[in-house]
Amino acid sequence: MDLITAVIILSFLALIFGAILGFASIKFKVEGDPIVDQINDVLPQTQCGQCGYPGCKPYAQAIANGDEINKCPPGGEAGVKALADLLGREIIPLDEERGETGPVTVAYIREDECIGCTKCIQACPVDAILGAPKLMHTVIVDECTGCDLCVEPCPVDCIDMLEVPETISNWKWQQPEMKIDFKEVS
Amino acid sequence: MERSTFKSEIPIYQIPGGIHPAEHKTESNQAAIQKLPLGKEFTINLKAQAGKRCLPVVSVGDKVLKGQVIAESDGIFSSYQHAPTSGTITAIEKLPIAHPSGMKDLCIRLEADSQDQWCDLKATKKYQELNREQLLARIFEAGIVGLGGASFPSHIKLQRQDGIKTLILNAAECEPYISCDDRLLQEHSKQILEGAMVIAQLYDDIEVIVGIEDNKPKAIQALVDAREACNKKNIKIAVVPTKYPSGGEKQLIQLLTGKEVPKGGLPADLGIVMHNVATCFAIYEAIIEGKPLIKRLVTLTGEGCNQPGNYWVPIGTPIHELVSATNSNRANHYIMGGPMMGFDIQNTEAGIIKATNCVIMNQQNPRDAEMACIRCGACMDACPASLLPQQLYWHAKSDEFEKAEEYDLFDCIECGACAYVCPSNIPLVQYYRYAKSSIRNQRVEKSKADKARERHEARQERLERVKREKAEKHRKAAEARRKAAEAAGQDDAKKAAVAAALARVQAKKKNQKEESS
Repeated sequence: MDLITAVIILSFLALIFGAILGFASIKFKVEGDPIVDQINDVLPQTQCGQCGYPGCKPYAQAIANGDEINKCPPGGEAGVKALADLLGREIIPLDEERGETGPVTVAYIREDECIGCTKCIQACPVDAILGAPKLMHTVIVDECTGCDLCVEPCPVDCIDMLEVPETISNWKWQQPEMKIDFKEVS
Repeated sequence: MERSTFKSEIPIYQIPGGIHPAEHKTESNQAAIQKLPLGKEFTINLKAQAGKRCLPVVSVGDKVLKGQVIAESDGIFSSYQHAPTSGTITAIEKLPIAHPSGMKDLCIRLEADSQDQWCDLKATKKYQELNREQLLARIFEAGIVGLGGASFPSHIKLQRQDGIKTLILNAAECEPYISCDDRLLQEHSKQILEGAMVIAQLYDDIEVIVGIEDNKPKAIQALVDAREACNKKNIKIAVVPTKYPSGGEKQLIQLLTGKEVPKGGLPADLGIVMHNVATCFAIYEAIIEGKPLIKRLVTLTGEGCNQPGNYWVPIGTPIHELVSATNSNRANHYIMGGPMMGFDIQNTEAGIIKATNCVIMNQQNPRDAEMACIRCGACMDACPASLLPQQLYWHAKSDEFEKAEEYDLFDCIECGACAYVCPSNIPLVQYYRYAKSSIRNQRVEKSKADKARERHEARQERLERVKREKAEKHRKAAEARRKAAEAAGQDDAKKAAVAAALARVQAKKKNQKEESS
């Protein structure tokens, strides 16, 4: 008798929890793969394709599917560390074949040499180049990610990648240095 | 140092932590305020206030009068800059500025014509007749910013009206060496209280408290006398014990009200607005005399300074002129601000800004070597914000910025009390500054990355859409062609039918003719 009661109670509980889980899976369904978005959030969004994928999101998808986390030179060591933290993987050195982590750059078009071919406009992954056929093009500096993709297609080589200079607004404190000796007892 | 015996008129609460460094105030606070001989050249930094850089409204070669606007506010969260004397604009370019980085930034250089001729001033003796908007506009146009050190535009601080019940005048001046507020109170208490009355007029009903440390007995006496003279009995004088950093905004509020400014909040959330006494003086001059903020009182002091004291210095005066004016050629190291929170000046070409309350001139001392943290916890006891400095230090040192943020890094006021007590000479504050500036840069990068992602996604979507539209167009064109072809086919059939019919008719006619003939 006890056995039967136990079985009945457990089956009943199983039914209830099953119903709750079933309801929750419909009600709280998450569209898309949240881990891909999380990985994509960590990636620098340069959209440079140095990882071998056509942009940051595809690489995020690839990482979620098991690809290595060290293929993003713009993200650098800090990026690898952030990905390792997020995914609980080992920190590994950057894949040197993919390129080196350089200073942040932006594209600059030498405007009087530009012939207005629009090839760079088509190459820019973030629509940061402005221009029209046979008219001069220019880069919207604030939107440029420094991905380098516009340099290659330019038939007249009029695009330079320039380092972003340090200014008062992006200057940051470095190694500490103490002021004067005021350690006297008052 | 001499302590005041004046009894505080409101109860004083406690703040945690704090230190008692050697005060070094008597070097500079004994002599009366002096004026420097008019300089030849002035370098006015356009990004010297919190907020946006001001926009120059003069060009090179322009002649300007003293007090004339030379740079306009860029939007509301910025300020105005005025010519400190009459003369000619000789440059608008990147010049050395007073900044810990030692970098150059956009400045206006003015060559004095030694006439020192004022432009027309809009003095208002009866400020009571001005309404709130007019007063705020005057304060804005006079380029008034907080003179206590943060250079926060005053008109923004004064904008919020509802719920403000208390105006605190900050006269604590807790940092060693600095005595400009002390001296200003001793000589200009009346004007300061007038300025405070102008501020009080912006609010319906406001209580005015002056918070001052007990190491300024003469200033306290001057305040009491001035209050008597202007018959402003409702102003209360709160004397707090001398302890660094009682003059911090949050610290002084806690001392005078016992309340803590909420994390990430503003004093206004507690119904309090606080202004430095020097700011009150500047507001007095701006409203009653119509003079914009073009000079400030600066303490020149330090072991290397030959004539220490407090001087009226026009904004933009290069540091080297201060050095030569006080014959301080023994000095080779200059600090802007106090020894606790100030920073080294790397180029003496840089001009004085509105926030410069003190320049310390001394000889470069080699810094004691930094040693390992022994986890003594002295920094924790000294911290006025009740933080855990050694935890912040560990995390800042190992670039674990997120953890440092979890330990409320951004509540740190960078007062330096922790570094002062550290037995291992660890320059703690600079680790925090390093962490803070790194986090700020990371945030900027993150928002840039988010924008890049949005733009990339928008582009992908657009390319997709263009592709779809093209395909759709091709499909429609093909359909149209097919229909046209079909229509053409039908036409042929009709023509054939007509032709056949005609042929039949003709054949019939022919037959009829043959039959009849």
